[in-house]
Amino acid sequence: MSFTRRAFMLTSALITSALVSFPQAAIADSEEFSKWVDTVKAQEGGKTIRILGLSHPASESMKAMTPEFEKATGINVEWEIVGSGEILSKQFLAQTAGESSYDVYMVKGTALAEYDTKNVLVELSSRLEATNEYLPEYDFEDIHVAYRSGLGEVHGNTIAVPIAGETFFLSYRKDLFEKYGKTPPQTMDELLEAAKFFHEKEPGLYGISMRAETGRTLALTWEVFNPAFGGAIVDQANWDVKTDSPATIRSLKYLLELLAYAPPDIETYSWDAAVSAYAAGKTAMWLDATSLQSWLVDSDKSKVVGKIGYVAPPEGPEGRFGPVGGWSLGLPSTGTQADAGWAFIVWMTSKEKALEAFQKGGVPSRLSVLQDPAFADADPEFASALKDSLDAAGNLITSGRRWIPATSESTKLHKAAGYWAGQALLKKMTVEEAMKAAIPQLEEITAKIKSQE
Amino acid sequence: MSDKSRARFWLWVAPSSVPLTLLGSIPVLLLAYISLTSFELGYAFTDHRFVGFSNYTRLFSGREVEFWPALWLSIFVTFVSVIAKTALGLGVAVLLNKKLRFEYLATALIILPMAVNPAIAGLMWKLMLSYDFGIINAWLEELGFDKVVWLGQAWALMSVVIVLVWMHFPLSALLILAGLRNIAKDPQEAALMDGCNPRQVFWFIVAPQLLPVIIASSLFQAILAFQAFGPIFTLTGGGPGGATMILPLYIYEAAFGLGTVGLAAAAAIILIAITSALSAGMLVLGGKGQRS
Repeated sequence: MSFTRRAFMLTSALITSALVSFPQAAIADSEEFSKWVDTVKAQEGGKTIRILGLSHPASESMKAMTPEFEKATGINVEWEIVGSGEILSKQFLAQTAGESSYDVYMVKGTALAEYDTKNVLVELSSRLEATNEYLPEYDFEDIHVAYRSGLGEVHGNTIAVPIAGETFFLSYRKDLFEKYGKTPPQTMDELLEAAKFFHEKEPGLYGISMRAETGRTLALTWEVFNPAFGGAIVDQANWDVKTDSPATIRSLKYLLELLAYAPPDIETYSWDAAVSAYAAGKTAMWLDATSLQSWLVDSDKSKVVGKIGYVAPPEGPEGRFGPVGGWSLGLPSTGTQADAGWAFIVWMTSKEKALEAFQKGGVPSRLSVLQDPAFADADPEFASALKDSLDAAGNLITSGRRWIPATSESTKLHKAAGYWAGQALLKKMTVEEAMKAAIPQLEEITAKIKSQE
Repeated sequence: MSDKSRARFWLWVAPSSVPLTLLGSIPVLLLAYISLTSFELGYAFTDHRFVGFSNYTRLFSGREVEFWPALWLSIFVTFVSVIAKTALGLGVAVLLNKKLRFEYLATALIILPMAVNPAIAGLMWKLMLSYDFGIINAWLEELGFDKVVWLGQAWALMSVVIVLVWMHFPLSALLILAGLRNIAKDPQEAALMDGCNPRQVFWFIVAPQLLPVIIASSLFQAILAFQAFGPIFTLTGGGPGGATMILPLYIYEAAFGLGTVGLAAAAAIILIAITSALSAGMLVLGGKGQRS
């Protein structure tokens, strides 16, 4: 299913209007939902399913909801949680080995093309159709169109159901910005200026943190900035390598200049180190995934609770853009208990349970939650920034490109680009030298992509 | 040995040697076969193509830009860490051989790093070496020094060597201690009575007899260092910018990061060839030591 900029604007407008006028709705299991649960219990009760997930607010929320699911359906659930760096290789290894012990996967939404090429997941259209018929209140269309498309569909086929849609935004220390009379950055120039201003302004304080670990992680962050400067690692329309284009070089130079105002070990920062540094009060700003916001407002994990605000990713010379990423749930093609696994997916992604999932620390992916006063009232500034960030994500998609190119070779592309960008970050090469050096390796990968099309 | 005795010999040896040989050789043969294919993770094994030696050609030609740096880095880390581990192990063994008051407690404490799971050891050191949150930088600041970016580009390799030395030096210490305790005391006492000082006794009487043990320990340590994976994987993951990307990590990344299992298998065969050569060296030197 494709979606348009108009669809994005429409949903954004809905969210905006919801922030001021949506009536409070009581969330309780409907008769229809209870009937569906009874049917599941009669058919699948007593079975045990295994879920392969990763450490993430969405899995924490699902784990909190698991006892209720087990009690209602009689299906026992066993969780296996692995690191975000391991989950994909573990799933692909299971696929190669024909491993049938998993019944539900947490699916990396940005790697859907690779899952699809390797036939790792079951196509879900017929199951969705049947569920929508039997349980109309499930309302698949209520899941945000950006997430449904970006995290669930490949070549028009749905192979996963989004559970934790996310885009990027900028969080800033309101207390520090107020103290020094600064306003939150709206443009890339302002972002750089703010990072420079706050860097070492107070003892132990750095300007900004973000994921910048050399290699693929750095490439993914760079791709958040690239569109705003008109740059790209590859042209997703024809797969030509673009690392030596002036716009791409300009965006990498900007990113490296920005990272000069990050903690000194920024080249080792993955997402968890970046959010930890910000949550510990070490940086004035943090640019990363919206799904991690729940950790920033959890006083057990954060020292900046009540001190932070949010804005959409800053605007660059070519506009304001944001990525769409996140996690979905899918059925492994090697699984043997697909019906019980599907019941788990329906429960956890249902409209009925969406607000409960958010309240238990989950990540909102449904319009009904994004529009719910309970969501907006919890943190109006977050709700507003999320809306603006989704608009920015829509800008990227309507420009005809994705944050992660829809090809099974995307990991190799970003690994190679991130390696060479890392050489520039570590000052082993100039940006121009690194970008020129990256071309042969990238062209070898894009030649394979071109031959597959 | 007569034919009948030889047959009986093989009959008795076969129940243990045949399974052991198969267990050791089948995975290596399978790995060697995979290294000649285009096999990628996530596809059925039957989907692979036979590509001859092209994975090896790709590695040695430098088209895989991280392979040669990873190989040289492995050799460098092995060389430096073996020297450090052996020197530290020798020093500790000499101290333990002096019949300290708390000998057993000291031995137990020294062995402790060996008992820690390698991946956990890496995580533990990662926390200790953290720039902003690590205890080592906190101590440095207390002492009035500047904080060090231990896991940054300049220091990451040194941090890896420190962790490997910390993990493995107890093995050298124990092996050398056993060697020290097997050296006869009489020649040492006679030399002392003849006017030699303890340092001369050590260098001219003890050290030559200890040499085979030190060589064997060093080779064993070299194999351990060349194969080290767990602590470096969790400590730096090979970064930043490939600064600690040693060969085992390169193999893991090629196989499980990029899914290019055929290529990773070729690199693994090269790793096995190098460690086998080191093992053969150890066996040869061990044999010489026994004969002497």
